[in-house]
Formats: sequence, C-alpha cells, structure tokens
Amino acid sequence: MTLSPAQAMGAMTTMTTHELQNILAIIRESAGLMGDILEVNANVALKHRPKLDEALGHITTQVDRAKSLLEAMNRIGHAPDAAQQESCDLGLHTRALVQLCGRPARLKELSLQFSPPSQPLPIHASALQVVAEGFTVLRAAIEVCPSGSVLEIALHPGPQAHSLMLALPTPPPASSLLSALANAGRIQLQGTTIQLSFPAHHP
Amino acid sequence: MTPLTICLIDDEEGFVTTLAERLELRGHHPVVALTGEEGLSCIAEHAPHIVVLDLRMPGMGGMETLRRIRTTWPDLPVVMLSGHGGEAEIKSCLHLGAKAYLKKPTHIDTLLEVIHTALQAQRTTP
Amino acid sequence: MKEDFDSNWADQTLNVGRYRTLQRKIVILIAVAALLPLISLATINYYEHHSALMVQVQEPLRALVGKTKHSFELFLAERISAVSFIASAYPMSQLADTKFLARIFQTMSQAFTGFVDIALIGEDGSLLSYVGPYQLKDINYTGQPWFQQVLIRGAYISDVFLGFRQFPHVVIAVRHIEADGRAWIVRATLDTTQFEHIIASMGLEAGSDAFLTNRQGVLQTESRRYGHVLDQLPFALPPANFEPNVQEFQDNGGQTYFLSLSLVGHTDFVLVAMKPKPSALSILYAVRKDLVLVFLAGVVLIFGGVFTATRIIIQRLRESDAQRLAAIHQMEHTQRLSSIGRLAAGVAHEINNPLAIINEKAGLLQDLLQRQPDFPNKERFMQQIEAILRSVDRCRGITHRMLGFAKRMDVKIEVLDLNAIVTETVGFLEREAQYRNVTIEQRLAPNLTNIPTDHGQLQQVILNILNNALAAVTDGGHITITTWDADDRIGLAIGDNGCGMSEETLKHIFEPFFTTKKEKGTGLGMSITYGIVKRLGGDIQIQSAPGKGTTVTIFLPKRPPEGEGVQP
Repeated sequence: MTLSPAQAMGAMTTMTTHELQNILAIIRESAGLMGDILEVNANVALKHRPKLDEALGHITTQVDRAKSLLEAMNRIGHAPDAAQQESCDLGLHTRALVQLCGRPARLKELSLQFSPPSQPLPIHASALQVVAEGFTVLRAAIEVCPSGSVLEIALHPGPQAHSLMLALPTPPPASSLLSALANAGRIQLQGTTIQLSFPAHHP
Repeated sequence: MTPLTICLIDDEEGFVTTLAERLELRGHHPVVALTGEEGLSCIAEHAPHIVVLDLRMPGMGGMETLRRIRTTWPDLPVVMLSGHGGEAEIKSCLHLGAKAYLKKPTHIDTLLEVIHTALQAQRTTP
Repeated sequence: MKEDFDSNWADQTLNVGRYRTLQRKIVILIAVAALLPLISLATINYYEHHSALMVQVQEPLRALVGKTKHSFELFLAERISAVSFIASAYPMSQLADTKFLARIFQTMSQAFTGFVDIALIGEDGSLLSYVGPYQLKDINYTGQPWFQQVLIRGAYISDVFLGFRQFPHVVIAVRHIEADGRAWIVRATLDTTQFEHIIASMGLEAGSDAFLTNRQGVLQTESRRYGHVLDQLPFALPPANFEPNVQEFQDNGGQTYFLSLSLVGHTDFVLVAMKPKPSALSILYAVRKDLVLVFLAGVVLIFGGVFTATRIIIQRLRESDAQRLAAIHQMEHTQRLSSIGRLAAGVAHEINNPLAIINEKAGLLQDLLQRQPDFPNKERFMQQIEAILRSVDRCRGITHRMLGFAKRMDVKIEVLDLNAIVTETVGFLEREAQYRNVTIEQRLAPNLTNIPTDHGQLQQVILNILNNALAAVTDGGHITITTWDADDRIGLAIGDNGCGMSEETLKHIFEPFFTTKKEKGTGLGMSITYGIVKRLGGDIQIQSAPGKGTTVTIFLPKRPPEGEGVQP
C-alpha cells in the first residue's frame, strides 16, 4: 500500500505539473478572449493597438514555453510509474531531459543539438533508470563543455541495444565525473564520444 | 514622485523590455542590459539610482555582477529579481550587499516599493 | 532474524563460492605461515636432541671401552713384565732348576693373580724346566705357532685356547738373549678367568654385552649373546683400531646396537662392547613422542584458531560487502529520487521566467489600457488581465510548493481553514466541470475549526478525489462536497452520483497501481491519497455501489499529527 519515495515524488510532480498546465490553459484562454475583444473592436481607434497585439502574442508564446517545460517534467514525473518499470521509450525520456537541460546549457552559452528519433526506441530498462542515468550524464557533459560550444545529442538504434550518444567538443578532463563514470563502466567514453546503452526491448 | 534612472540587468529579453516599458509608463528612466558585462558598462554610462539584477545569466552571472558593482560603486543600491532563489543563494546575495531579493514573477508595485525603500535606506545611512 | 535475512540476501547477491575460496586460501596461507616455523623448530629440536643424546649415549660407552681396554693392557703388561723380569733376572742355569723356578713362580703368583704355570724353554724348543699342575717333560715346542712368534717378536701373548684341563688359557712367552748369544724362553700360562673379571667390572646393563675376540672374530671371553669362549662370532666385526670408537651396528639377528670396539695393545685381541639402540635411545623416543604430541596439538590448535579467525573475518567481510551493496542500492535509489527532485526543482525555478514575462506583458496591457478611453468590452478585457495576473500568482504558489517537495518531502504543518482549501481546489476543476456541465455543490460547515495540516498535501488529496469523481460521473452529473465538525476531528466527504465501484474494485482501491481509468493516470491515485491522509494523521473511508455512486469520507484530526510541529 505504501509508495516508494520515487513514486510519491513522481506522483506529486505530475500532479503539480498538471495543476500548472491547467492554470496555463486558463491564461491562454484569457489571452485568446482578449484577442477576440480586440478583434471585435477592430474599428475602434486604440492608441497602442500594435503594442497590445504584441503583448498578447508574447503571452501566448510564453504560455507555450512554460507548457513545453511542464510537459517534459510531466514525462519525468511519470518515470517511476509501474507501467515503465520493465521497459520504456528511450527517445521520449531523452527528449524530456534535453528540454529540461536547456536552461543550464543556455547559461553556459552552450547549444544542445538534438534531433528526436523518428521511431520509438523501446528499451529494457526502467524509465527511472533512464532518467537518473541520462540526467547524470547530460549534466556532467554540460559541465565539461567549454562555453560557446556545441553539445550534440543523438540516439542510435541497434538490434541489441539502443544508445544515447553525446558528442563533446573536447575530450573530458580525467578528473571529471564523466571519466569517473567511464571508469566505473557506467558509460563508454571514447575520445569525445560518450555512449550510454540500454538493451533493446522486443515486445 | 521623482523619476528614477533604473538599470535593469536580465537576460530574459521579453521580460526586461516589458518591465522597462511599464516603468517608463510610470515616469521612470529604465536602462536595459542583457548580460552582466553589458550591465557594468550601462551603469558606468548612465549612473543609475538603482540596479535591478537577475541571478542566473549566461557569462558572468548575477552573483559576480553584484560583486563587481559593490566593488566599483559601493553606494549604488542593488535589488535582486530572479526566478531562481534557493535559501543559500538569497543569503549570499544579501551578504554581498544586495538590498532585497524578489522572486519572479512579482507585481510591479511591489518592485517599486522595494526600490523606494532601498533608496530611502541608502539616504538615511550614507 | 535480521542477520539471517542479511546473509541470505548477501548469499543471493554476492557469489558465495568466492568467500569459500577466499576462506580456504586464507586458512592455507596462515596455516602454512604458522606451521612452517613450528615444523622446522620441531625438526631442528628433534635432531639437536638426537645428536646430543647420541653423544650422551655413545660417550660413556666409548669411555667404558677405553677404560676397560686400558685395564686389559695394564693387566697384560704387568704380567708380560713379570715374565720378562723372570726371564732376564735369572741365569738360565737357575731357571732350569725346577725347584728354583717353583720358588719364583710362587712369589710371582702371589704378586700377580691368574698364572697357572711357568716353563723354561730352550732356543731349540725343548722344555727345560716346568712348574705347574701338569706333568710335562721332554716336549719340543719348535712346531708351535706361539714359539715361532716369540722368536720373531721377543714377547708374545697367545689367543685363548683350552688347555689340557679344558680351561681357557692364554700363553705369555718372553725370549731372553744373553750377551754371549745364548737365548731362552720363559713361557707362562694365564687363566683367563681374570678377563671375565675385568669385563664383569664394566658393570654392564641388562641387554648390553661386552667381550674380547681375536681378529678372526673368535670369542676370547664369554659373551652374553653370542656364545662361549672360542665360539666364532656370527658376524664380521667392523675394522678396529687402538682408539675406541662408537658406531651403529646391526647384528645378524637384526637388532641394532651401539657398538664400541678397540684393539688391545700387545695382543691380537679386540675389546667389544655393545648396547642395544632402543634402550639407549629410550629417552629420545620418549622425547620424540612428546614432541610429536605437542606438534600435533599445535597443529590442531593452529588450524582451529586459524579456521575460527578466518570464519569470523570472512563473516565480517561478507557482512560489510552486503552493507556496501545495500548502500550502493540505496545510493542509486536516492540518486534516482534526487534526479527527479532536482529536475522538478529546476523546472519550478525555470517556469518562473515565462510566468514573469506573462506577468509583465499582462501588466503592460493593464498599464496601456488604463490610459485608453473606454471602448466596448473594455471592462471584460480588464477582467481577463486581472484573471491572468491572478493565475500567475497561483502558479507562483504552486511552483513554490513544487520547490518545497522537490527539495524535501517533509510535511509542513500549518493551521489552516479546510473550507478555504476545498474552495480553492474546486477552482482548479471548475472549468472542466463547467465544460461537462457537472455541478459541484459545496456544503461547507460555517465556523469550522481550523486544523493543523499541510496545505499542498491536503489539496492533492482533495484534487485526487475530485478528479476521480469527475471521471466517474457522466456529463451533467453531480458532485457534493460536505465538511462538518466531528468531535475531535473534522469530516470531509466528497460524493458523486457516478458509476460507482464493484465490491471487488473497492477491495483493491488503496493498492498502488490500481486504477479503473485504464486509458490514463498514474494508477497511484487512491493509494497516494491514502498515504497522504495517513501521514496527516487522518482516516479515509469509501462507500460505493455500482450505478449509485461513490462517497469518499476523510477525517482529519484537530490536533497536529504526532511528531509534527505546527508552523505558524
């Protein structure tokens, strides 16, 4: 009857993100309504009409920005779910992680290049594991990238295993967490390429 | 109400320009900088009454910007305004000499109130 | 029990064989390290003791043989001197006189025991005079071996022989040569009983033996073991010289002896003394037995000690390995938990940026419109701006809460108005309810006592139940929320007129991952609700009937849950 702490944390996260998404939807509706009112009064001379339009447009854009963050977080919050304890999709979780790592990367003026895979990549690992390991590796990689560089993130499907590949601009220093993870056998590190593999799931 | 020259340093352009516009509507003279480095030259150029500073920015970052402002212009009051802010960060900002720490999003009236309080405190304790 | 569990768990997780191998290796290593010195010490000790004992055993034997040899030599030398004196002190004419010879013999016999007779023999081998128990006359000794020997050597002691009396004798013969070239021989016979006396005086232990032989191994005295005088020894003697030596020797009977032998001067005799080895070394054997016992006891003790110590070490090692493994599991678990927490905290912070922009843009719109003349729907427009600003404020509160649980999952207890929380929470779902034409009726008791509880968690509980209720009712359905005072608790009931639940569903409703909303949801809904209510010190009950609807009732205590401080 008791939940694991991760499950409780996940559940609370998803509830909170849902709540926030609901409120964002309200804001969006309000903005839409305001747009409608401006539209209805198209013939009324308003002093700052372009500014009003622009502001409303910005509100909608920012709602979308917030929503995409929340969607990514929602994906992470669902990671401890029972349905994803045996297998999960590597692509969806990597995408969510990359999205959530956008801000720390921007602070380092680092650009994250990620093209989501065209097909699902089911793997035989819990979503929680993917999130934990992926997050650790991604964060460690961002840490060692010089500012202003490009970190390429890709997913490589394979018959036995699907892999998360990171191409660093420079090899990580021996003292970095990445090297430690590589030494511990948690990731494969070759030059500037990091590979985190999970066994492919064939349902 | 005396018009104030307010230097806004924040990398969120949409936020900082809108805030500047609203301050302008209230009769103030905001000057905008999108990075810490830009902010320092902006202060040198405009000699603002007060600085409103974000914490997380690419490049120098808010904490380092605050440190440099306090070194170069020790009498210039700085108010932090950031979406981030763990207790540790708030503490170290106040320790570095920030007058207040506001969390985004905040009401513009609250911001102005804090600005005025900071300036008042500055005047009474030179 | 715990230990059993731990070790079982470790057995399954860690390779048990690895520990067995390790234990075996350690035992062998320590045992070898401990036993090697013990073995070498015991060996060295044994051989040292052995050689010391050998010296101790052999030396007296050697000394005894040496002493006895000297006794023999002295005995014989005295008698040779006596005979020699007689041969040289008197002229031949006197010695040829039997009466004179008899007088001399008497005197000599008094001074030296063992003489049986005496005779004067001419150079031609003819008996000139004789004193003794035999009636000897006109005998010529030219053909006798001893006669030839004495001619060559000047003095001679014969081997033992049985004389006419069938009694063992030896002959001592001395040749005297006068200045004028005349020569004669004085020959005396000795009774070898004296030899037996000398040997008896050695004081031999039982089992030991001592005797004289000649160089051909013919016994010259009685032997305890190998027969009588003139018997041939059944074995060949090892070579001897004048210094007594000791050696180990095995006779034809298979028995091993310490054997000491020495040539006796002036004679062909070999003095032999034998001491059986087992008796000589009985002390050594006793020592060896003790040594072996001590050694075996030591080995048993060392093995026992090493085995016990190793078992304890291995047990400790296994326990610590198991603990470390558990710690790693725990760490990975926390890492996973913390990765969600950190990401959630990051989002809680990050979401503030778009919210701040929305806030400013809405504020700007407000600012601009306040400076505009009225236009149709301006009031409605301003209301929407207000709504956006309020929504942003609500988001602020939620992100703050999210930050709170993302950092730590502690319950933060405050004294709160349940009715207010209910109203606020209903607000979240009002839009959906309106859209589906579901009425949410709030029958809230006025003046309800404020209760110590956690705002966020209680809100989640209400939200969760309301969500379920919304899912259960059809469009146009009805949900009722009731609060009331129930003595030391406060009651909250949320009822719906939805599809209800079967008894089977009701039985499992609080189990994790149980859900009736197949298409979506975490499947944790009611179990989370249950967990939170319990954590808040409350109770939860569900009444439901298929087709009639469901009522979830929660009771919350008016006093804070135990161990939770109230924060003002």
